[in-house]
Amino acid sequence: MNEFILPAILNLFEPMNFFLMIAGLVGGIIVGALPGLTATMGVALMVPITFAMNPISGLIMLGAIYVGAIYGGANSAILICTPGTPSSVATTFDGWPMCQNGKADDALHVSLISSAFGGIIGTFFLLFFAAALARFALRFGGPENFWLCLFGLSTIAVMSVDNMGKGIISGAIGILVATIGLDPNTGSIRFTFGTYSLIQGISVIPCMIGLFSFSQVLYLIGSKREYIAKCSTSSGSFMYVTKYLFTKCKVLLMRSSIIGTIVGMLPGAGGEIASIITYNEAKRWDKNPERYGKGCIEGVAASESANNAVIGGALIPMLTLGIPGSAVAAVILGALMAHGIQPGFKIFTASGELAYTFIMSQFLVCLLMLPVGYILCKFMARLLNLQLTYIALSIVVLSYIGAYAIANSIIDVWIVVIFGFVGYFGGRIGMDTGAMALGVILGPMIEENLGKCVDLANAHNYGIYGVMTEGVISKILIFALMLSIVTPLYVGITRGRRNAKKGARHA
Amino acid sequence: MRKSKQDFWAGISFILIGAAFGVQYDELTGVSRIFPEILISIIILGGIYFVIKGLVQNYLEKKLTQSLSSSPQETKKSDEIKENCCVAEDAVESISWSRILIISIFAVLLVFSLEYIGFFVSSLAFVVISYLFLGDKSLQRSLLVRSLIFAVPFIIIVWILFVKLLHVPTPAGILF
Amino acid sequence: MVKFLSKVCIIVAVVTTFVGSALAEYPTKPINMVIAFSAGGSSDVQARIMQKYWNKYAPKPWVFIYKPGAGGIIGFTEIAKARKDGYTMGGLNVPHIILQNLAQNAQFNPSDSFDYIAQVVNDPQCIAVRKDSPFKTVQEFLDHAKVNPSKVKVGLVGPLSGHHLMYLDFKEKYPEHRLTHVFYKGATDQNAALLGGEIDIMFGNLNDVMRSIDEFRVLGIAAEEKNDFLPGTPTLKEQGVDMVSDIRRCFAVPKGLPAEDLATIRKIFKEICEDPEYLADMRKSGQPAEYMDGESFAKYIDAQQQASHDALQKANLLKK
Repeated sequence: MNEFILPAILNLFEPMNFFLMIAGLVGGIIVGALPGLTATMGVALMVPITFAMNPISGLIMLGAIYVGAIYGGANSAILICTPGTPSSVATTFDGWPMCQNGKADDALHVSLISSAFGGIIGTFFLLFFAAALARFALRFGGPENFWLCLFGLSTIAVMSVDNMGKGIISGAIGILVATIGLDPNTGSIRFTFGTYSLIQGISVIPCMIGLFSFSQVLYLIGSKREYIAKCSTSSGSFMYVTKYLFTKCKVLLMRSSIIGTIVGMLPGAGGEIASIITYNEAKRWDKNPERYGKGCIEGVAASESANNAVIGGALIPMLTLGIPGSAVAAVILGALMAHGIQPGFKIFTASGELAYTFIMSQFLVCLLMLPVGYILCKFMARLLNLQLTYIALSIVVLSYIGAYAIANSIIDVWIVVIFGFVGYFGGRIGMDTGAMALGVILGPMIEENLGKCVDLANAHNYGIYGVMTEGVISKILIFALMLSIVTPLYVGITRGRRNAKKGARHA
Repeated sequence: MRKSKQDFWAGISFILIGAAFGVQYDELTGVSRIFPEILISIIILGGIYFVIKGLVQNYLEKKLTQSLSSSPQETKKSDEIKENCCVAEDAVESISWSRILIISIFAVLLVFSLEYIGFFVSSLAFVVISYLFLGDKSLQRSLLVRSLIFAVPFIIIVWILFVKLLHVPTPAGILF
Repeated sequence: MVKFLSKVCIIVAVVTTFVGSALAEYPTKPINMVIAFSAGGSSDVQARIMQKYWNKYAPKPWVFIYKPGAGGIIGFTEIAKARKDGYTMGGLNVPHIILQNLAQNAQFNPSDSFDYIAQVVNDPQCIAVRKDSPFKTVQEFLDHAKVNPSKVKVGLVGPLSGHHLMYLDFKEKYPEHRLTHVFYKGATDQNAALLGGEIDIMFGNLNDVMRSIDEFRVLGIAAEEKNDFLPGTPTLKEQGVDMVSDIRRCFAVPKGLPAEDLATIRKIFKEICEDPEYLADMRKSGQPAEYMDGESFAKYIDAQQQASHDALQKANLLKK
């Protein structure tokens, strides 16, 4: 490894590569910030351009776009409560309230620094522990993924302690919606209501665009306000936020980044799951969890550091085994293979220069993100000065074209509209849109992995029970799952007792 | 909306959603049936629970306000109870349902026209017409002028970004 | 007088342009290329390589349109229903189109909906195990499976895929060798499962196995002849197992194109597929190229349809 690092770093400062890093960052941040455009799309659309470049430069550019886009989603999540990419859903939970409280620039800076931190941690693991971690990620099979998804769903219970019943049902509705289309285990067609086009099922991204962006448009238009929020840029914001993060939030940042890296490593689990799980974990272990959801820095930091750490994690199995850890990693893998580069452990020796230049570029991109993002933040915050109506109408147009662009299907645009209404009216009767989104994402995975367990049970001595509880990882996850369900119940009961005591004192 | 009302309407919606999926139920066979079966049951049962909860709470609240209005000493207690059972109205901001209706209608019309008229023309029309209805009427320049000043550059930027830079195909109909 | 003459000129100019563009060589504008899978996947990579060489031989480029979903059905349907003017074509996968038509109520029929331009890829299935597996030949695997019924776990992408067909074929030819099959959503998951030890063996595509070839040992290839990518690996037939199974990729247009235009495209594709640089690029990306012209391919599909129909019927998977 050591013989490659120096040439790798030198490669980075070649003018072309440096330019590509900055251009990729800026392009990625803009793509990520626009609701409707996702990181996957941005990277996929740029892949053909890399065919004209040499592989190292192409890879650097794609990596920069990836990092920029995942960070960029936070901008719109904070400013207009619409996640620019699915990975930023959890950032809306605290970022938007912060914006409404006039602290938009604080929130933007928190997300910037957290993203950079998360990205660096993820890349750190990629650089030093890729081999070992890749092997670890492989041990997640059908049963392990099943328990992990259940664990992810159980965090819904933490998300909505006051409203657990509706939260669970919202999640159930999400999973039910995800069953529309082809059954993952038998290929039979479900719930298409007579329209053949629904056979493609409900894609996650248009669904999330609808639930969060379009419903937000309805809310904004209905609110009769003229501007989305007061934009008060205080000059000391950046320094204040940095100090806060590195004094009070050290543990939170580390924990979130590590969770992000691990989730990123698992094929199939991506940024959106990581940020929601991390957000809920941060809330669970915090001394004053009631602050979450009202605009606290910790919430934004948890979500943003996790989703950028996912990048490093997703690249680990992609480079070492040819198994991408996320959808964007899959696209980058395709680009690599089209250039004739074979992934595998050999990539660190035979194509060592390429591999290490790419990893080093990720470090540099995360650092460069700070000044680039800082400048763009100033620009983005100005957008708050536009009239609300303009912004709302733009969100509609961008959501439509973004949803359409995913699979060139007008069905996806209809999904945006329908779920927009579901999200808006559902929110008014107490449904939890975050839980529903989580259900739509995790539902197919749960069913698919359950199917795998059933298949595997045929070969196991103890049948399905044996399959599900056999590995060490499964046991740990089952334990975590039970813990996850029990803690909010416990909190609910103790709080009830505390309130009763208070009431008794008053009477 | 008061919590009891919320619960009631939530319950009704859950039952409706469960029923909507249940209609297609018979077409499922074998293994693919299990998952949806469990889910629909949870949803409908939950719906029934919330309907009952909402009705019961509503009844209790009504009884409480009736009895409390007659005894002034109990008003403090009634305030506490009201706090616990009712969610504060969106009194901070009132909701303009007419505006929501307008944007909903136009947004749906836009989806229809995307494939018949073409993306850029219909989006331009959408932004301009919606703004005419929803824009701020108190400012000086006419609504139409202001909407065009915003809409035209916006649509052009979208065109450059999506078609020229990213080569994303856009729904194309009769017009552009 | 002048006014009259200028009107005549305009009319002549307009008419000439129309007639001219009609007489001009097809293609006169960019062609839509529909890919039924997501960007970055192997179908996309292969099409991108082809595009490079298409631009060498044809006057107008391709515009890529991705229509992923439902294992390809969405994209394939799109091609079948596109306008028959020669400006929309797309990539198809066999046996996907056959199986989807037979078992999933697809809205297209391989014999009636498409005109085939050419086959470009023949990706044979192979039986692969981890490098540290005790099986070194197909026979060892078969012996073990016979003695330990339902204990050997085989991974397949599916259901209703080329791998599934191969597995059904296997079950029919070796009824006493019972395996436990596990379906995976895609080749990525299948590779990961084999590497992680969840399954012992897999029936996978050569192209996908090549992505992690350092970690695998290929016991045999289900093809008629040895493959260039793995010159040392015997075919299944050579080892006494009479199974041939593969996934083919082709390009097609909706049926009903004017014969001339179809011939033009077929000619261009033939030129591309014989270009040595194209073949070198395909090799570099691990894509097993094999050319078959459109008409022969149509006959191949008809033969396959009958075989698949029988196999699915035996396994009770037919939907019609």
